[in-house]
Amino acid sequence: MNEWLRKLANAFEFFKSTVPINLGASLFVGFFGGLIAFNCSFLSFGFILSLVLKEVRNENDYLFYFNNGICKKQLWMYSWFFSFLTLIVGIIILNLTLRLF
Amino acid sequence: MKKRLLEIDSVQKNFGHQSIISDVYLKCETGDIIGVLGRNGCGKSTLLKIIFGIVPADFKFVRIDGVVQLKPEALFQEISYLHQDSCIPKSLSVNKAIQLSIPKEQLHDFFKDEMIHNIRDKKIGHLSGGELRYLEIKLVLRNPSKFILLDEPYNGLSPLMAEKINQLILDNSAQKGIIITDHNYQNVISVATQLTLMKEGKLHYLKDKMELVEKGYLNPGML
Repeated sequence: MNEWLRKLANAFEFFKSTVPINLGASLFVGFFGGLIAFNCSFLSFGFILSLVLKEVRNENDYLFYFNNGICKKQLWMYSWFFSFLTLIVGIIILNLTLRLF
Repeated sequence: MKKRLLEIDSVQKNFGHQSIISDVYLKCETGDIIGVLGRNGCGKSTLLKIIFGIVPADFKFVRIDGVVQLKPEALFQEISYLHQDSCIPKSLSVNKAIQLSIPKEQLHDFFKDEMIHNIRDKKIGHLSGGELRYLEIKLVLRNPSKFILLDEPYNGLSPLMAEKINQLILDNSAQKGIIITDHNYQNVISVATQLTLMKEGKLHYLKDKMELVEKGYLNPGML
């Protein structure tokens, strides 16, 4: 269990490192295409762009996660799942805020 | 403690028409420290990368306890790899990097190290070259994997720091199988339980360090 939690923490840390690029790219898309375009980009274009840039600029970072027992495929899958959860939570908070105010 | 066995067999790697590694066999058991020496560009680092699975080989078998391992996730459970360059994300703090790498029950013991204790609140990006190398080596040696590949661990280290690294390697070698390669041959010779030499794509097992001179890796008087 501890081992699994440690791996999950590693995947979450990797996810956090993808957020700035993903968010930046998706805000850009959302600026021209609206909220739905932002949501789609956050799970597709922005997400993939953040992985591509990581591959180009910080490829060595992957070795840290490999040494902690997680392969690239698992990092990408967990990251996408965390992005999905973040988006859901964001949408819920946005809807609540719009209803309340 | 049960001894574990890592075997790398029939490794072949070509770049274009040039053969870099040809039919290499390497065996590493728990308690072994295998020193891999060789001239620049002879394929030492490539061999370690092939074992770890981050560079494809034209042909290879990696077996752990006699079972062929094909999936990277299976290899990463058993093998850790120290790259020539730093690989800890610079945005992490030392504390965070340690918590992500070391099992919870070993954290207290890990932080007992004075040098680690002194840098635990720093960011990775703010560490000196020596501090970072020491941390990286300690992390790969203390994480749960059973085999460690050290690619140029003494890179850029002062003699005193290299001595500390040697002690770390020796302290952890009873629970792990270690393969080490570096141009700092004196340090490799001092820790290795078995010396090997990569030459013309082949890996030669050496019975004695004097063979390093006989096979042309060192000049007479360098030992």
